[in-house]
Amino acid sequence: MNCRQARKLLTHSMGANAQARRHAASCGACSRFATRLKEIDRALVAPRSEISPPPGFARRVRSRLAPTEDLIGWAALRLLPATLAVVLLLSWLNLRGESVQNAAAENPTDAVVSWMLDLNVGDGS
Amino acid sequence: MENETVHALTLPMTSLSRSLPVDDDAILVAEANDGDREAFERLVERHQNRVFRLAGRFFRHREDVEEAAQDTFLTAWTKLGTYKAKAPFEHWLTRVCLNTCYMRLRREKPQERLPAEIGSEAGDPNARLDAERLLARLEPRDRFILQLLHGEGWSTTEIAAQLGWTVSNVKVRAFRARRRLRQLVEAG
Ligand SMILES: [Zn+2]
Repeated sequence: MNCRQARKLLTHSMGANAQARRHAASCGACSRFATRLKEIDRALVAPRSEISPPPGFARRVRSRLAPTEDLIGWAALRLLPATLAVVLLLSWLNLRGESVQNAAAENPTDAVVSWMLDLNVGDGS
Repeated sequence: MENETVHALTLPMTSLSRSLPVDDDAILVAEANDGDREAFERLVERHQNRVFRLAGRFFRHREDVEEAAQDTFLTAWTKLGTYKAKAPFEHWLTRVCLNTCYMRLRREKPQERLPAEIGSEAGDPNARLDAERLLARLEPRDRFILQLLHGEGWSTTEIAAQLGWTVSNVKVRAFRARRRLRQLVEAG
């Protein structure tokens, strides 16, 4: 086993792979690599903070809840003329070939997957 | 928020799942779906400890953890209608929380990732600080996946189920994260 293979196995197992550890035991550079990796594993396992919900947290959340559908329905009815105007404007823009981006993803998971898999953003790796 | 059927799989969820009575959740969810804010407040009370613990894995400062937890519940409120109750509510809420934390991590500035000080529990403080500095150089998405793999101890299958991703997506991201970690440690 060479150093490259050993470090791959060490990284994959966070230092636990027995074969790679045997290599590291007789290789100074890989031994240092394994030591640093162990510390990183410890940092990953530890939570970054241990914070309990403050008193009244649930009540505060409740006070910030968005209007329910019924309320939204009434609000939408009151805003119907303005809504129609916006819809017409957007349709017109679309006809002119301008794409209207919807920045707020309907399903957060889709946006996250795009981000994680570099569909939108390169990570240079 | 679809595919919660995958959560019918028995997930270990480590310390996340000291499960609360599911029936109580089901009643409260039904009431909250009818617009009952008090019922939703009860849901928050029942699940806030878990959500804070999970958010605390990703954020260092109290205000970030609190905001992530609050955003989780506010999103859960607006998306509650998409929860089909085929799996426990806490699994669905975990997914909402993980997604919320992700979106916040994307916006985190690199300097915010470093701790102001290293606690005494850490063993060798210099080695720990060195590790934290290195982790701070990882892309948040790489750190996120490594925290789920090594911090939560979830398998790629479990992460996929929790986040509603495909297993291959998780594997690709885990491979990239580990490769980047190896490069950083080697560059040390
Ligand atoms: Zn070596």
